[in-house]
Amino acid sequence: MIVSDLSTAGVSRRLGKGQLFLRTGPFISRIQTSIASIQSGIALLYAGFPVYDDAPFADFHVALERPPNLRRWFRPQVTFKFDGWAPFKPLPLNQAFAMFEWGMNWCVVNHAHRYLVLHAAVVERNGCAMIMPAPPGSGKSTLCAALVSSGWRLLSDELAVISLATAGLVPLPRPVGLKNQSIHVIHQRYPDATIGKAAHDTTKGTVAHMQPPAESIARQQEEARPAWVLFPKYTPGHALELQRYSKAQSLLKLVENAFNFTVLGKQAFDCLGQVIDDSDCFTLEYSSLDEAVSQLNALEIPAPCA
Amino acid sequence: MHETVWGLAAGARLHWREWEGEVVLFHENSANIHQLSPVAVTALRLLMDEPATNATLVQKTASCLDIDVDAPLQDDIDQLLSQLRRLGIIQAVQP
Amino acid sequence: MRVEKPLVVQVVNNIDLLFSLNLAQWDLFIRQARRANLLSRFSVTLRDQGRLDQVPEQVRTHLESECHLADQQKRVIEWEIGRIREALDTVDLPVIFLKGAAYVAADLPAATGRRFSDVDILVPKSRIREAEQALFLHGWFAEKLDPYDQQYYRTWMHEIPPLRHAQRRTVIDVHHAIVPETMRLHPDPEKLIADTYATGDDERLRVLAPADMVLHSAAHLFLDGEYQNALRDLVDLDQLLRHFSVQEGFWDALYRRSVELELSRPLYYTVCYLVKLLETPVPASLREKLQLDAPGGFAGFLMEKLFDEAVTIHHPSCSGRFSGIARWVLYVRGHYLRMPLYLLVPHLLRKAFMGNPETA
Repeated sequence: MIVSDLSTAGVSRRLGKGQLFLRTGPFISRIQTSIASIQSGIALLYAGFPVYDDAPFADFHVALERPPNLRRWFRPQVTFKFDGWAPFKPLPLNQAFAMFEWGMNWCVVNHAHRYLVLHAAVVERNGCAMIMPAPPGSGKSTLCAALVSSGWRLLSDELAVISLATAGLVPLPRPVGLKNQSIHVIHQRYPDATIGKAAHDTTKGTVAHMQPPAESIARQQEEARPAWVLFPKYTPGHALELQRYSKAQSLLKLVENAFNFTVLGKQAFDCLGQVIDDSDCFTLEYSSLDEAVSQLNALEIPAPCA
Repeated sequence: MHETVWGLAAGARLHWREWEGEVVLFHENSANIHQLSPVAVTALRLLMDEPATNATLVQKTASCLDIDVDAPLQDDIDQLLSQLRRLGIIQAVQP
Repeated sequence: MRVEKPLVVQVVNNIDLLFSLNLAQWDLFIRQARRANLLSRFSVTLRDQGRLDQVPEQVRTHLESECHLADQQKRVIEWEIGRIREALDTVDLPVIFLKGAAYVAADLPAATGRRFSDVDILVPKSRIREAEQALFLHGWFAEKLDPYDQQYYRTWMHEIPPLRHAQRRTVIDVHHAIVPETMRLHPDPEKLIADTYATGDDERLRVLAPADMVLHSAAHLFLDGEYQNALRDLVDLDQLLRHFSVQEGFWDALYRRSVELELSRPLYYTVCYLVKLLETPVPASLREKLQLDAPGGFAGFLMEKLFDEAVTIHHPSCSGRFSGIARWVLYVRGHYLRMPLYLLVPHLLRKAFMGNPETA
């Protein structure tokens, strides 16, 4: 059963009772919420994901609630709870869906040390994965959305999940977060893309999410080999420029973007060393998405992945 | 101060990766990662083989890399040793 | 009425129980154990027994994750032990570790998968400024506290405000006594320091004598007013007692020392709970002697009820109807024992105003 097999009312009812078990990548989350914007967001943006009415075991038990205080009346808020405990402060209610997404990331980052987890987008073609670690504002998510709308498979938009045992990339597809102008850009370029309701005035500006392609969800159990590490940078008016980047520097940057490098210690160092060994490393400066996508489509597959 | 003999800190665990001549050092005990210059790599490798004073390490590094012993090299080694000490990678040892 | 013990307590008593759980019971167990801060301990124990691969795949994700966290913690603490030793060596002070860090330093079974956030050390009161100065020069700074909290720590608590390392973010709590100065119980820190022993060849790395280690842990659990980790602390005590009781004359020494240090009351509570909850093998003779120190009548009954409520895991599946209130009353009681009465009100009011008393 997938989410879209259920009616919108059916999704809401299950969420209200805390009876919705959603599978994303290797994880099952039991979600409880009565907040309408999250219910409709899940129904729309997670439409293709597997869902269970009752699973004996859930990796994460999460709830999104409106805190029971006076603010509820004049400035409504939302709290994210992990098994009854609120790890962070409430946010304004209009950011509820974004908070759900951030909370789901938090669950993985804090409880999945079986994997090395990086702050990076991961896309794949022909079984070869491209890891794109990048700071906010670098256009990483826009490029990721453009690539997955042009035939690349989405492994993850925010979290690169790497198996310590195989150094393979584990898919964790979820809706792609878009910020500010990129919401409009993606909407214009790909009119068929399904984009959810925008939340304004978040700490990250205006945020909306794009539904991942059906094929990415259908193949969410299928790992990919690391092949490229790409540091993209969007610079308006800049001519396309793809350059080889030092492997040692690339490793240092991956370490900077790793959430649990210090937790895993030597295993993380070995694993990232393997990723860098097997990957070609580049920086990409671009202003035209078309040019960037066709440049990346033309990348040669490195020998270890071929 | 310059009579101090330096050696690897007790229990220190170091791991290396090298690509195209660039070296990344991982200090497992502190989970810190460092990029080392060729001079630093050479000096640290020598120190791992055998404890040394600042002066002897300068000599050995110079002969290993076939470069001259000069003031900049001495400054580099002094600075490297004090950094490695602060990072807990090396310590003063009994000669 | 006999209430069934929470699943996580049953597993403390018998880890083999895990292999008869179905997936739904595993789900409950992981949530309870995580909340009680005990999941790492069970995970590492299973791994050390080579039995992680007998666990269902979904469950193993979480147990392996906890093993990684426990390994990291051990690495960090071993590293910090060396750094603290180096700092205090400059003022010619040995390092006396307390609680979690002591279990790691002395390589005790209680260290297995033990999670903790601070390194606690004991320094003679007369040398506390020197110690603080030396740690400061090695990168540890007092956390920003408002002047009220600063004064509270320095005047009434048994520690100076926590010191956080500027780069590594590790936190040291420097104590000059094992209970606050204003408590009506006064275990003499000089006696404790005199009986410390070196954990290995290095005379500068020390921990409390076995009986003192147990008494400190007991005092911490039953006098500090913090009960979030009560079950975890009881498991520590269970492990310490099982480990030390192999030593000839340990139980007698423990009783004598508890009287000498005025800590027989918390030891009584500890023993009650350990026997009741974790089936710790405590000899009847010790329990009889401690019985003489038991609180009587209604106070005793009320106290037991409160502790019963407090010493359970704070997970929705375990909370009784009133346990929130019970924990708050215990918090008040912890502070009452700690301070002369007139000090009680301002601090509590302020804490209640600034946040939830359960987490303050």
